[in-house]
Amino acid sequence: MNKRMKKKKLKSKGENNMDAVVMNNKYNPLNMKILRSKESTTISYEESLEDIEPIDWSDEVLSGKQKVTFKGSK
Amino acid sequence: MCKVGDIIVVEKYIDEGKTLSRHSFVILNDETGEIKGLDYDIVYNVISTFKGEEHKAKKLKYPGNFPIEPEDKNIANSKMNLEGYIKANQFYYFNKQKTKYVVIGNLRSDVFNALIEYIHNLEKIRDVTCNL
Repeated sequence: MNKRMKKKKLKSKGENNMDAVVMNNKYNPLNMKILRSKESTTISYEESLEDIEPIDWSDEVLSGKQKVTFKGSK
Repeated sequence: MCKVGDIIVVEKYIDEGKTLSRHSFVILNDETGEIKGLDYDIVYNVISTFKGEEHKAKKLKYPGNFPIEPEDKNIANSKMNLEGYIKANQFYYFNKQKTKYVVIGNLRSDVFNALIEYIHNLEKIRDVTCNL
């Protein structure tokens, strides 16, 4: 393999790695057609929140000074 | 302006004469659509913390409740347990112009995409449309 071909191959590999990074950070939105095809029932806002415990965010979070990032938990 | 994957806090508002408290949600889709003849432009799931260990054990029995936790623990007013879950089978439809909210952060993309994959495989869902 000559130098030009090696360089081209390395570049392609690097580009592929970059693509992988971009793919990993991509948010795939909910597909509404799939969602609307499901059996559904309608409930009130109050009923939906009856067992929900809200988070008491700090003022720094609510004012936008501190950003929150959630990760998965076990 | 909010986008898919963001976590927002919806301010208190009145529903059928009752004042409801402030809750946090993760945005699943931000495209315009129509449900039951009403226009929406945002769909999200609610986020909850655990009331205690018993509540946590009960909630995590359901695969639809996605366990999450903040990367930074110093984000709440009290020393409350910030572990929580996303209620993944319950969908809230809102209209951005009618909703007062603040964006406070986001859900990591790997967790978000796992959540979406789970939702796409659900058989039954619950819709909340009274805010439209």
